[in-house]
Amino acid sequence: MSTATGALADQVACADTLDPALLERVRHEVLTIPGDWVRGYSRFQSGGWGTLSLLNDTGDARDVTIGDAEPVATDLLARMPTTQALLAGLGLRYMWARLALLEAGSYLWEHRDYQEAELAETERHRVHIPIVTAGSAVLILDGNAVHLQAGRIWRLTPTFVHGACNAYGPARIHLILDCYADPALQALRGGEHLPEACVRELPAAGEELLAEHAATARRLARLGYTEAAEEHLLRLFFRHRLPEGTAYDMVIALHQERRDAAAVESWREHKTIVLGPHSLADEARPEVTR
Amino acid sequence: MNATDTALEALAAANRPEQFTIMEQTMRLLTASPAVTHLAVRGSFAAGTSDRLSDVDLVVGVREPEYAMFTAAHDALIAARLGQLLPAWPDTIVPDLGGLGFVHLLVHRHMLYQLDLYLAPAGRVERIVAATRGRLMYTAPDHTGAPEGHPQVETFIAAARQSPPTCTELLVEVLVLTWLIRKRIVRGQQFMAYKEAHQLTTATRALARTALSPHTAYLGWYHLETDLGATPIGRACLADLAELAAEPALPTLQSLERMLATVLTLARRAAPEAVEQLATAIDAYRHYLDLR
Repeated sequence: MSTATGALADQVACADTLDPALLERVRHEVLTIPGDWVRGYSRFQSGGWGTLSLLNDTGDARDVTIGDAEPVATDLLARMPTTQALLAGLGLRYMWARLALLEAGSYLWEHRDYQEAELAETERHRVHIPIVTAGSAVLILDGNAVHLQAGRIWRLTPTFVHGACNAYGPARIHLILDCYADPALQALRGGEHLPEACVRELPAAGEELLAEHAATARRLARLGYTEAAEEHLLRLFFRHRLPEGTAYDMVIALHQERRDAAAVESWREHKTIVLGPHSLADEARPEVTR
Repeated sequence: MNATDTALEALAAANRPEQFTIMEQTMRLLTASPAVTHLAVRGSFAAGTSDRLSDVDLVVGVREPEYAMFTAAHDALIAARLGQLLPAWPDTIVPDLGGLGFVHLLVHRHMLYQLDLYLAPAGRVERIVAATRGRLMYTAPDHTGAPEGHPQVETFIAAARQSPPTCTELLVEVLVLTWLIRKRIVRGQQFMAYKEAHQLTTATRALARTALSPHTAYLGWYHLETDLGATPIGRACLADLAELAAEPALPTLQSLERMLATVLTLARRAAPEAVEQLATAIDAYRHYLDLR
């Protein structure tokens, strides 16, 4: 399999493969646990994203808001011996470990992670181990759709702007391990590469196309479907190579046009929260919606 | 109500067909707009003959001044809020009731369901409901009735009906037909399957013609060999069509799987951009179709 290199591989890469028999046993454990997923981070997602913690600061699987921790095994992990052995075998210094469900038709909108002040100072990365996945389940990074194939261990550096979606399903479930940078992680990363077959470059969107999408959103809003209008625009990040924050700017422009000052302010604030202080300045981007 | 009735009711609710959830979600979504004046259920759910494979068939009454805008936006609405797998197919099978029909395939609770929306000008809804023995489920509180016939809406509907389908729309049509045929086979409705399998072949021919000989003076099967046979791609598509035509007239799940493979082979030859545009959706569609 050929390998892509360059900036994208700094953001996401395949670090290793997973023994197929081990993966099957972990898959069995994951698919037979009670499916009572916790739906946190609601404004970051379209709905359909749920998690359960395996390692966290309280030992309660339903505490899912991640943060710095010397984590302990949760009640859920205690019932998953193979998964427990997998985590121990990787030998990483974990901050948090979760199972994450992304249902069909679900989106985690464009964002950066680890933006909180207490998380920003220490180097950390995210390890994804796909348990079950779908062809349309991808991460979007730098205008590329990256499909994290099952059977591999992937490293994501989520301080880069990214989004996740599972446009058509079936459901995607990943084991997500937030880890501190340490020699074990460094060793795991020694074999990193990015298989070209897992990467699809998204098409660019010209001003005309973006204007068409803005017009569709405007129609939806005029008809009274404001949330659908917002969602239509936020999904553009998953369909086209766009400058950072463009989808949010288009939502803001929509509400400016509707003269809804509260919505404009709310989306501006939200954009700052999700993209963080490192977000490119607004004036650096082209005007796209008028 | 006694305890047994209550227990039975709870049991019925727990086993309620998923189409009712889709109906509920769709109705809640659509009625958020002041442009929507009516919602009516028609088809098997209105008749009381539905099963777990039945499509959800709704008539949506739309105020005439917003009819064109609603029609232009409704596909984006369903895509954003109801888990649509493919773009809507402009329904050419539904009888002409004075509006425009669209078929949506939705992913809901790990399965595929069909949602048919018939967008009707508000003034026509009551007549449509009566003609189709539908059940009116919603009338906007401020709806005061509207006269039938609205020249601009009539013109818009006529133009939409005459608009030739694109390759993408034809590809979606064959995928919707394949879904319908599968349902017929599972239900044992062999003659409906026979009819729709023929439609599938016809739609595939239309896809080949639209992609490879859009300016021909001929229609249907007439002069197909001369229109397509001049190039290697065209000849390969003719061979694909011959393969489709040679499949059993009464399709089985096995023959349907072969037909779908042949259709997609032809589509990749004749209209690769349309296939590329829908590639991940088609991948998921095959999963939900589960022809294996």
